[in-house]
Amino acid sequence: MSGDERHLGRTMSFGIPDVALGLVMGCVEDPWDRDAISLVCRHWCKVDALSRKHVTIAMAYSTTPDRLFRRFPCLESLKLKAKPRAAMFNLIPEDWGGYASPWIRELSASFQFLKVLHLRRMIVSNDDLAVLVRAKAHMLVSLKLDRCSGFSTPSLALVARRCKKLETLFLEESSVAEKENDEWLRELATSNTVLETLNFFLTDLRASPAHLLLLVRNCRRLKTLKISDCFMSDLVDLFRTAETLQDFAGGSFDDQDQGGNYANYYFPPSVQRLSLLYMGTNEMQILFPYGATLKKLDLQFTFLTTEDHCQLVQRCPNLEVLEVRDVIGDRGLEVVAQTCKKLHRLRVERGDDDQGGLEDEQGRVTQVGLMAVAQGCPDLEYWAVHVSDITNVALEAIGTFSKNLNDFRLVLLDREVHIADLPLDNGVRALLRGCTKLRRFAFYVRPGALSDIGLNYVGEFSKTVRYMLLGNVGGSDDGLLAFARGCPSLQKLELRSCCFSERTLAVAALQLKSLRYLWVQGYKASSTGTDLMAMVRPFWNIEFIAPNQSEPCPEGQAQVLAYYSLAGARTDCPMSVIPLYPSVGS
Amino acid sequence: MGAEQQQQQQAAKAAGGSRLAAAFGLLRQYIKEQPGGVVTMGLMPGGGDGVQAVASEERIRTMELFPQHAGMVRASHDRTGPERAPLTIFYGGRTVVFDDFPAEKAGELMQLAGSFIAPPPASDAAAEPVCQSAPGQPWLADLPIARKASLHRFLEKRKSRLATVDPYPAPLAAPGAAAAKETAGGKRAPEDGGAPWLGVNSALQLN
Repeated sequence: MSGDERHLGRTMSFGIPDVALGLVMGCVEDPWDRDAISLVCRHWCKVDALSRKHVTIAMAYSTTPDRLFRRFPCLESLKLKAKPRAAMFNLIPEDWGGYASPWIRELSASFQFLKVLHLRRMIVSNDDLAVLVRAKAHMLVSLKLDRCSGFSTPSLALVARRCKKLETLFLEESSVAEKENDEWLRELATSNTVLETLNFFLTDLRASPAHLLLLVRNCRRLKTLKISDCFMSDLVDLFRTAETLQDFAGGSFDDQDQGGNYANYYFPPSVQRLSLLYMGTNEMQILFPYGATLKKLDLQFTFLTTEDHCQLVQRCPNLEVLEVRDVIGDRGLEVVAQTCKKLHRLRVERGDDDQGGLEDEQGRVTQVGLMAVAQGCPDLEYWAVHVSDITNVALEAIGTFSKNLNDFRLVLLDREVHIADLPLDNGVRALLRGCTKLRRFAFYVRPGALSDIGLNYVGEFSKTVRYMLLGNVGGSDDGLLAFARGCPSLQKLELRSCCFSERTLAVAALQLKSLRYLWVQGYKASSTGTDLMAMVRPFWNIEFIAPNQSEPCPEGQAQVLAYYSLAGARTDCPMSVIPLYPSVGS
Repeated sequence: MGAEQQQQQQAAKAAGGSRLAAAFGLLRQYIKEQPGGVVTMGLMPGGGDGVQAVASEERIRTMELFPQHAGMVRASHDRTGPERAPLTIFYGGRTVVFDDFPAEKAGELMQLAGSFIAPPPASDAAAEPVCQSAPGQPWLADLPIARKASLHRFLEKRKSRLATVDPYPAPLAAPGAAAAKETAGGKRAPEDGGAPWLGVNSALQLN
């Protein structure tokens, strides 16, 4: 169903027998379609409620566990997210909230079919994990603690020992206490034989090579193994044993090794996706024999130069996913454009600003690299890029050639004083007009790079965009008001470092008809904050996130978070979160 | 108080008429007189101490926070009596929380805040057009582009590694790849100067 077809009439429900409805419903998985179906009539709503297998709750405080159970008692899979996305950029105080406890208690007590749980940016205590294991050990197939904190390795050992059906254990970027204790890994290796995915990439968890080897010996279905730092020279036996391994991330290269040791390094032939930590010029050759089979390459956490990127990418014509820092440079992106015709996802992250002559001089991405990729990689669906320079022509090229983009994110870095071609109003308009499949859009530039006219274009031509991040855009409140007259599908908006006043932010929030979630940092704050009260309405929670003078919220800038919630006001606010309540019944 | 105000006016002048500087200067005076001291948001750990309990209790009860306590002061009278109460101030995007703030001082503070707001000073009127001409400057304490935590950690680790070893050592002669790299490296010097790689594929040039 496309957007306009989602408004189904109640007459649709007449004359369709329950058996037929059940059969059709079983084939509808898209939650948007499900939402549309459930709005037709009460009966259809009930049929959907009883047959819904998976739900994603993008904001844990938007509803309650009890309410979820009453609506969807037969859930098998739940994904919950809590802390704002800004937490991944160290902009949210650690104690902000997002406690998993109330959820885990309800899930454990009520949801008897639950077997897949994904918690993202939440605080999960050891007690929570103990409760979960007690109730769900015999059921759990997948447990993802994704960028979470609050638990320690003995709890992981408990999960490993008791959840013998676990096929996925995901801990990426989580902050886990007692990180030196890798008994949990031994437990997992000895208790589990069905594991397919183990991910503790980008954690500080220690992992002894012996335990890892035991794991791949015992879990013969293991396809994905993403670990923390661990010397590649200690993993030789592991790779010779892991015959089914497709996806590997982590590892580390010894400072003292100068290349020779890795000349004939062996990866299983099944390996398709790799992310090697701290790989340097002299180790890069270990990938050369596997270049043609690689579908994903993550070079974000390596020491490679621009030239190295060129050499390596040249050998990987079948890449579908490439993740790098901007050290790849325009030259590297031109090689990508010429070589990787099947590329679906491309991420170009921001390198070190304090270069001190360490990064390659050519490590800058500009309009030249963007245009090359736009023309060379027509299948791109996701493209996030940090550029040092940009032109309207480059943005127009993306609109012309990148017809499959559904997620485009551009950050204009502040390294260069002079930018070739500002403002970017017409380029943005051409991009949004051309990329008709766009669902997510981020445009973080600098003051003057997108005028009020440009903001108006963004509103007018982003009909399908559901998520947007805008930084340093617009010249006045008029721009935001013009923007807010458009964007009919926008559900989640993040604004940072813009000149908008509180009153205009509030008016815009009221005007954006699909908006459910608004996060703002850096605005023209009034002395009282009262102007924000203009957006008060039923079920709309408004919270200040106060600046922390110390890490990990060093910027010293207040944030406003507003979201729809059926749960009422938060009751677990720390000192750093100050709720502004709507009055009862208003 | 007169002396203090004078001091504030001087401070304001020194800061180019910055109202923020004046307000915080005044606050600093109060803090000095405050036995309880000031608590800046976030410095206060989320423990179960009295301030937090009072604050959150009040939050739950006060459903309509700002309209009732118009202005920048909110105080809980029921718990600590009329003389002293917690005080939260929002100013210029910053939030400051005081424990046990005297009502009398709060009154003075309100008065002072009012006196700043009532006749908009010349500098304030000038702030609006500045928004048009040089956006991004006047109303923000520079918000640097945030870096992903994962990359930040990596770059920090890299720095500490670099302290002990050169990450881009001269390639060894032995492996074939390294040799290829060396050849390419030889070409690099002229490339840096004239960027001839722009011409590698003429179709990809800018215009």
